[in-house]
Amino acid sequence: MFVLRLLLITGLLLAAPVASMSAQEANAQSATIRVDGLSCPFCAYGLEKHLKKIAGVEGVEINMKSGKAIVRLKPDVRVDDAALKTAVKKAGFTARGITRQ
Amino acid sequence: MMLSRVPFSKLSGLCFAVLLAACTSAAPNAQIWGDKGSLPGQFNEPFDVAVDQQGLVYVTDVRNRRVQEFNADGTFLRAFGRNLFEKPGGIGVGPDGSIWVTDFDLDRVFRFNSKGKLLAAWGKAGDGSGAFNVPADVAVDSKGFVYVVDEYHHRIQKFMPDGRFIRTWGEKGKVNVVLSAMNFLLPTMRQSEFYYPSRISIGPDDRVYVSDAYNNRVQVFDTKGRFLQAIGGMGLWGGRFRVAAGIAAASDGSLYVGDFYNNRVQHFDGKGNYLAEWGQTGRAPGHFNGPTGVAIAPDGSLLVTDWGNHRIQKFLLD
Repeated sequence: MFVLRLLLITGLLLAAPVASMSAQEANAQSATIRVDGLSCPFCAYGLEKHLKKIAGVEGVEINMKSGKAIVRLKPDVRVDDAALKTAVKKAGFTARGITRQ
Repeated sequence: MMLSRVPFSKLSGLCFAVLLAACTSAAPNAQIWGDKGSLPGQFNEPFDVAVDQQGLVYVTDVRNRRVQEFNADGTFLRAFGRNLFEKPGGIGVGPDGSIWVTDFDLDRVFRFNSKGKLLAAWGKAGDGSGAFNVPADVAVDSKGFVYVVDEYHHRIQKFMPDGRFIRTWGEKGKVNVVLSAMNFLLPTMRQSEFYYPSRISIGPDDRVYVSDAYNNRVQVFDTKGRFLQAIGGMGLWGGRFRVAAGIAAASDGSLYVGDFYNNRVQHFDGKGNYLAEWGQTGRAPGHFNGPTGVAIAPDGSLLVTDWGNHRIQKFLLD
């Protein structure tokens, strides 16, 4: 019984951050991705294109100076971090961090 | 102030600035037009430029999703393609005067007449022969064959004017930055490999010049894609690049290349030897904020899309 309780508590503790992240992902209106190696429009335009292909992405704005891609999200479609990271990788870059607003 | 009290970083910076200034030629006289906006004659990220046989100037105006056409003196004539483009990227002129434009996002190539009337459109997204992943630029040789820079496939594709695929060459290959800076020891390293090729130009002898942007060099090929030569490598000094961008082969066989991060234009002779350069970061005439496109007019003047300054600079060369 003790072992079962321990497992249950551990499971809840592990699930809590995931659940909260999912809620954050679901409610966010935009995501800001820090991208390594963004240096000129030839690659920035490519990154924009790959991000715009994701269902649920409304628009993309690239700030080359700060090395950030700001992704506007459609209200009722969930776009998870994994999809954003995959698109960044496909465009030839590495996503260093994603923050949701 | 005692020299010994000057911090090393400032001293080295000063030496570097003096060295760069000593290496940079004076800019030729520049005629400038455009500023940021969406009105006729204004630009929002002008990205590439082409000049036809009559001296008419065509500019891809990325964020305004259009091509703008100007007289040789910069007078606005017309805009076209607004209902077609998502992100017009490269532009070139064929021997028959038709205007070719690639679209980054649509993975298509458009052909217009000099009045902006659409003549043809072809291309699709995909990985096979004839399909694109970000067609960054287009050029046409003297026989009318069309060459497209397929940037994210790191290759060049050659087509008939109607879009029928002929051949492709190139594959992904990154030259290590240190090796790139030292490539005068091994100039043919990783030949026919590209790392985000950006621009293409055809020389008067139909040589194919490709800006291999992130390998910081220009590669030269014949019309069958056989490697002939590499020019440049990573660096700040004359003849080197930090992201090779706009490119134009002149009628005398010499070559002008926009050097994106060094914010300059460099001139090479027909054998790839460095001749001259001008430009630095800034907004003054002859200064740049990302020279992404270069073209030569019939009168020998050189046009440059000054991408981050949202303007065109036309240099009157000797």
